[in-house]
Amino acid sequence: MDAAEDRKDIEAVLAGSTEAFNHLVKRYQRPVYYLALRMLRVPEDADDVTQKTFVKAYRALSGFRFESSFKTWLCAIAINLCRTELMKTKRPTEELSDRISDGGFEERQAAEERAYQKAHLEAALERLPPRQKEVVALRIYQEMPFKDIAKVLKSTETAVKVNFHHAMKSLRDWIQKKVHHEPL
Amino acid sequence: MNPCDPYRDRLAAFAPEGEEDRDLARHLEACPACRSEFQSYLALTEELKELNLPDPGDLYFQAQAKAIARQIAEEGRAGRSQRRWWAPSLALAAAVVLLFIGFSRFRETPRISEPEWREALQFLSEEEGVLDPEPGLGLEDLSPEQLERLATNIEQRLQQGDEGDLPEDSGDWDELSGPELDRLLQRLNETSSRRQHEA
Repeated sequence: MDAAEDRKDIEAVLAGSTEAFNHLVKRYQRPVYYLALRMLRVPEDADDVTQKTFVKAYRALSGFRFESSFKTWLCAIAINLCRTELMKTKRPTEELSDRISDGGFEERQAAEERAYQKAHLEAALERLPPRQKEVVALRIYQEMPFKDIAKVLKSTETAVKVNFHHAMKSLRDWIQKKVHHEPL
Repeated sequence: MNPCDPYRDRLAAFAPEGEEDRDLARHLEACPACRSEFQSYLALTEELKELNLPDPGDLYFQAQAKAIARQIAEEGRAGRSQRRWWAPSLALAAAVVLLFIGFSRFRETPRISEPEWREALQFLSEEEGVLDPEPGLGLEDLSPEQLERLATNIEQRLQQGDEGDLPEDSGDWDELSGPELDRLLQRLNETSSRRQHEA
């Protein structure tokens, strides 16, 4: 992602070009959509949040001060909208047992085992506290540096790293429990 | 104290390239236990990355971009048609709405108190049309959804006319915390007073 290109498009939008805003949308709609989908899990909701994110960004663009990257700024808007969405719908936390059928781990074929591991990790990710989940989504899936994540979440770099550490440790512990066949 | 203790909490967030933690990098070279733990986090990171989300495809994203472009175009048209009658006292309207929102949220009363809504109604009657899209309705008659639309409407106009009135470049009014809302109210009231004085 080219910051100079973003700046050029943003300045063009502010000068009245809606076409330039389309460039920004096309450049960032996928990361925003996947961030929202990672947070909300429902494609329709992720789509809604993505659209709202860009409309809000358009409205507030004149307030963008280039103190962070445009992507960081968009992610901050998207995260706020996801939080609102999550508060509105109050999704129940799925239990692992809802997603993973019982049965002997050993008897499964290799493909099934892989699917099982993925489902387990997916479910473990779902169980993270909201802030830790946000940090993981931004760090792992958006590959964002910690200092940018701190900007998105209006936090400090240290706090973000601590959250990330706790998240990774919890995930690893859950996986290890799985390996030892302990109940979750 | 275990010499590894100061490092353990930094392992998950450590990136061998790009981000600096030379002290930890040196420790990892010397300590097999921490190195092994660090590698377990790297493996976990890779596993997490493999949790792919379904790709809705290019056509989906094209349609999404078009939908966004349509909304932006509509906003632009609405902005142009509204700018003509955009009143300098709009900040006062916003302040009134925000007062309503503030009162209803933080005092947990569903309706604005009488002095405020009387003032609001008086303002509405003097500035007919300012609070579209609900002409003829008093603030006290608005449902939360109507109020939200109204707040959004005013927010757009404020941003088109005077961005300086909004404190957060990405914030939504309904996402503001109590102190943030207080600050915004204060700013809007100051703006309103200043504009009245200038008028």
